[in-house]
Amino acid sequence: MQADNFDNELKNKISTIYSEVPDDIDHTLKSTFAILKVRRRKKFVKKASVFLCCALIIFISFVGTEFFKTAKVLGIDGKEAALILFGSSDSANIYADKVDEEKDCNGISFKITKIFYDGHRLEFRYEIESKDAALQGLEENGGVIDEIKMNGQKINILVDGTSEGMSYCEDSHSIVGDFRVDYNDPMINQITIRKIISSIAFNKRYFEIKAKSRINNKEYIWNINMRISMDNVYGKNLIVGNDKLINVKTNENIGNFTIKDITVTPVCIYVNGDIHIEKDYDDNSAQFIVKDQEGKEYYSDTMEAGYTNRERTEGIFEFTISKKPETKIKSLTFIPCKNFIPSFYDDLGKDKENWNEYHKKCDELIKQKKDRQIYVNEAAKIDIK
Amino acid sequence: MLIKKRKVISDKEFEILIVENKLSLYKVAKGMLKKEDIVQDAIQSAVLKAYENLNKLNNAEFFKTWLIRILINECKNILKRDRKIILLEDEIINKATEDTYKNIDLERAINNLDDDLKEVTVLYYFDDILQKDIAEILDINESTVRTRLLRARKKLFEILRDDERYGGQ
Repeated sequence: MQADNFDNELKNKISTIYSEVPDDIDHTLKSTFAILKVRRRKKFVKKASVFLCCALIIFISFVGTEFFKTAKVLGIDGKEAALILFGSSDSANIYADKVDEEKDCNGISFKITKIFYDGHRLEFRYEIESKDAALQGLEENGGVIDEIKMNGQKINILVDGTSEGMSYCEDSHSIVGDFRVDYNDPMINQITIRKIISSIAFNKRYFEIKAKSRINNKEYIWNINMRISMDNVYGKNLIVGNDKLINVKTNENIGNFTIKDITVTPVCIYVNGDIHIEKDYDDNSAQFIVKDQEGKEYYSDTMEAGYTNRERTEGIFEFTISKKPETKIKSLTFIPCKNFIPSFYDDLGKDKENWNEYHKKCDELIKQKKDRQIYVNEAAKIDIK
Repeated sequence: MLIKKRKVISDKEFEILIVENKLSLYKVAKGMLKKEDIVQDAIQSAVLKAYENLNKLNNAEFFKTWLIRILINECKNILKRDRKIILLEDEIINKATEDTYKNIDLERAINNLDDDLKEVTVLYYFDDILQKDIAEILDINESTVRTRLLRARKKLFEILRDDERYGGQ
């Protein structure tokens, strides 16, 4: 055997046979390179993540140390300083004014004493107080609330849906007032309201209130900026609903009444409709007993009513029922009656300002009232969906 | 402190070198294994392993030798694995599905060699690798390479001589 010849022959034969790489191998290599590319990318992302985490830890450690040092030098508590940094501290917030916090303007103070907002009604109660001079010189043309913005959106207060009333206290050194906007009032531009509602972010509501008054020919201006971030908080002076309201349109006749619109919010029920009577209803002082699906009775505030014709036989009515926030209303049964709340409503006096006390006293007084006279033997049950 | 060893070949260079050596990879894998799809698997696994261990390569000059060594090991692993699972009747099927290639006798001759002879033969005849490099790749003495080549040559010669078609050429 000639080894060299054999080797050369065999090598030549093999190199002839395997002179080129089949296409399949090219494809295999391409897909292998693609796999490598993916692995490289993953490796890069992993490395970058580790690097970023390390950098972040170093940064936080460094900034944290310096941050608390700076806070200490400035005499601020570290936690408070952190809250300031993230915009959650009232001490560094322009919306830092609180309920019952006085704002002074040339010796006359203004304070918001109550905020009520449940998605349907926005209501402010306020108090103007002068320590020295009497406030009798306050001009009576128009209200004190000049401008209100909620979450940056101006609320048009020059519509029929808003109301403002003021009353002097006995000593003439203080005035209490109430400002109210009902959001589903047909007179209010619904698009504006939707904008206001949709602008509410993170369940926070920012109120900018400008109060203006002329007292003894001198102008006083108070600017209040409040942030209400507590959702579902119901206190003495602050009631903030979560905007979840149900509105039911109906045409239910009960005796002299036609219930047309019911709005249920977490804290209130608003009812309005028409009254049809044969003669002037001034003497009727009508009220409703309202029961929920479990038979629990609710007692309305004084009904507000107005004539819509000259004969005083047609009118519109509206009343509000307060309810506990946790109550979920599924249906309401309306029973008209008379001589009901008005007879003792005034007896409650100032206590009606206190939510819980008011209801307790209502319950006690209703139990005492044996002479409840239901003058319509009808009732209407309306499902709330 | 642990310091990660720097690669002597960049990622881009790695891909270029793989493409440059693809014929060698194919020849070696084809010599060691029979079926085309297994050849592809072996090459892919070898390339991936080479990339993963690229930082272990000390000198770029030895890239080809190093790569072929990885491929040979991969082929040996495949052969070992296949030997365990192939049953006798599969051999018949395999024969029917083998690549229809004009070198079927040569392939059969190489496949009849023992594994240690086969790997030396493949490296020497298929990719024309020098004996000292074969020794390096297989991690054996050069004299062992020579002995194995001698034995392989003798056996191949006998097999192919008996084949009439080879004799006719």
